[in-house]
Amino acid sequence: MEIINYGTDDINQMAALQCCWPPGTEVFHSPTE
Amino acid sequence: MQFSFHTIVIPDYPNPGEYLLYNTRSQAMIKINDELKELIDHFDRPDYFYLRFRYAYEIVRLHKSGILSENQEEDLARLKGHMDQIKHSVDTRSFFVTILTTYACNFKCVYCFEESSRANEKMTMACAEQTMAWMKSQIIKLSYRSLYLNFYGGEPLLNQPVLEHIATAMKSWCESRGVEFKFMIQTNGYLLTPQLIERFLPLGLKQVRVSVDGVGEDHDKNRPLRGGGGTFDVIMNNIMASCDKVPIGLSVGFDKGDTGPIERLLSYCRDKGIIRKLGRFIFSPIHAGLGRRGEKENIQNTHCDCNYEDESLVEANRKIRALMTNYGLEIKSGMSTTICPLMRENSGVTVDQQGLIYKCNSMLGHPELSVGHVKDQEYNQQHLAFVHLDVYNQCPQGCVYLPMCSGGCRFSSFLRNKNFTTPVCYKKYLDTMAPEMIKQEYQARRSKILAEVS
Repeated sequence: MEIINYGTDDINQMAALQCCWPPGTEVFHSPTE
Repeated sequence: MQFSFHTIVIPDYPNPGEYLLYNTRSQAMIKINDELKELIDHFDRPDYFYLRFRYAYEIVRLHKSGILSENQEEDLARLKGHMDQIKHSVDTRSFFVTILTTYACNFKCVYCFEESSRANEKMTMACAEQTMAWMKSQIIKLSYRSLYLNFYGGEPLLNQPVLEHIATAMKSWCESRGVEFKFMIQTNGYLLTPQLIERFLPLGLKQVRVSVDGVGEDHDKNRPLRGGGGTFDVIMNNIMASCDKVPIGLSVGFDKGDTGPIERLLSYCRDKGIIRKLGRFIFSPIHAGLGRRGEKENIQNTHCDCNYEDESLVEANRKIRALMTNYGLEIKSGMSTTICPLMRENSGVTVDQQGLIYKCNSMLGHPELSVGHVKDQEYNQQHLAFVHLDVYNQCPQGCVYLPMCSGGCRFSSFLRNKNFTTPVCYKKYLDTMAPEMIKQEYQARRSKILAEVS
C-alpha cells in the first residue's frame, strides 16, 4: 500500500476549495505565484 | 468494512494489478495491490480471516483516511460532518473581499453579466469608509489572520482614488494588528501601466488578473471599447511592459467548445517571450447571465448554455489540458472540493459600489440578492435563506461526487430552473472526467514527492 495523500476531515485543510462548477473546468498554471 | 460511498476505485493504475483509490470527501489518495482489494471486496467472509489478519494495519489506515467505512451509517455521519463544516466553519487564515470601486466600465463586452444592470456609478469615499469599518469589524469578530482584497468593477482602475485610499488605510490598520494585508486587481488591462503598478506595489499589490479572450480579432470581437474599437494591442503592450514587476494572470473565456482562440493566445505569449513570466492562466466557459434589474428571470445570453453541456465540457476540457501539456505548462487536476459561497455562513464576499454585500459576483446588480450592507453589523434574511438551502439533501446520499460538488452551483440552478433550490448535477461529466483528473492528480503528487526526496 502506498499513501499518496492521507486526506483530512477538516475542509479548511483541503487543497483548493473553489466555487467553479463543474470541478475541473478551471484549468490553470501559475509559474510566478 | 467496505469502500466508502465516496471512494472512486481506478483499476489497473498506475500498473496492472494495482488500484488507485480516491475519496471525494477527505481527498485521500492511496494505492493498493490486488490482494488487498480482494480482501476489501469480501471482508466479512470467514475464509478471508488470514488476509484480515495480514492486512490489519492497512485496513486501519484506509478506514481512518475515509477510503473505507464500517457501514453506511458511518459514511452518512461523515458526510453530514463535512456538509456542516461547509455551512458553519470559518477559515481564519484569510478573509477574501472583492470591492467594486465602480460599476462603470470603458469596455462593452458581448457577454458581460453586469451589462444588463450597468450604471455609471462610482464608490464614494464615504462608502469606502463604511466598507473599511465593516471589514475591520469582521476581522476582529472572526479572528482572521490575513486580509486579501480584490479590486474589481466595472473597471476598477476608473476609480483609482478609492482603490488607493482603501489599500493605504487597510494596510496600515492590518499591520498595526499583526494581520497580513495584500491585494489584487481584476482589470480589463486597458489602463494598466508600469507606473501604476510601481505606485501600488508598496501598498500591497500582489497580483493582477486581466481578461483576454484570444489574439487580435478573437479578443476584439468579444471585448471592444464602449465607444467601439479594438483593445487587444493596448492591453498586450501594457502586460508586456508590466509583467516583470508583478505576476499578471490571464482569465480566458471560451465559447462553443472552440479552443482555437486559446491555442492562438498561448502561441502568441510564447512568441513574445512572456508565457513563463505571466501569473495564473484561468480558462473557463462563458456562461449566461441574469436579466435586467427587477427582471432577473429574463436570462441573457442563453446561447452560452451549450458551454455547460456534458459533451461540450468534456471535449473543451480535454483540448485545453492537451494544449497546456504541449506548452509544458502545469495543469490543475480539478479534484478539489467545490463549495457554493452562498451556502456558507462565513466566506469571502463582494462589496459593490453602494456598499451592498453579495456572496456571488454573478448576482451583482440585483439588490434583492444581496446578503447585507456594510452599514449594518449583521447579514440580512436573504443570507440566512441562502445558507439554509441545504440543497445536497435532495441529491442521492450515496453519490460518489456529492462531497466535492455539494449539490452544484446555485447560480446555475437559477439560470436553468429560475430558482436557487434545485440541485445541478454533473455526474455524467464527472463519470468521464474524474478518472482522468485523479490520474493527473496522482502524477502531480508523485512528481512532487519524488522531487522532495531527491
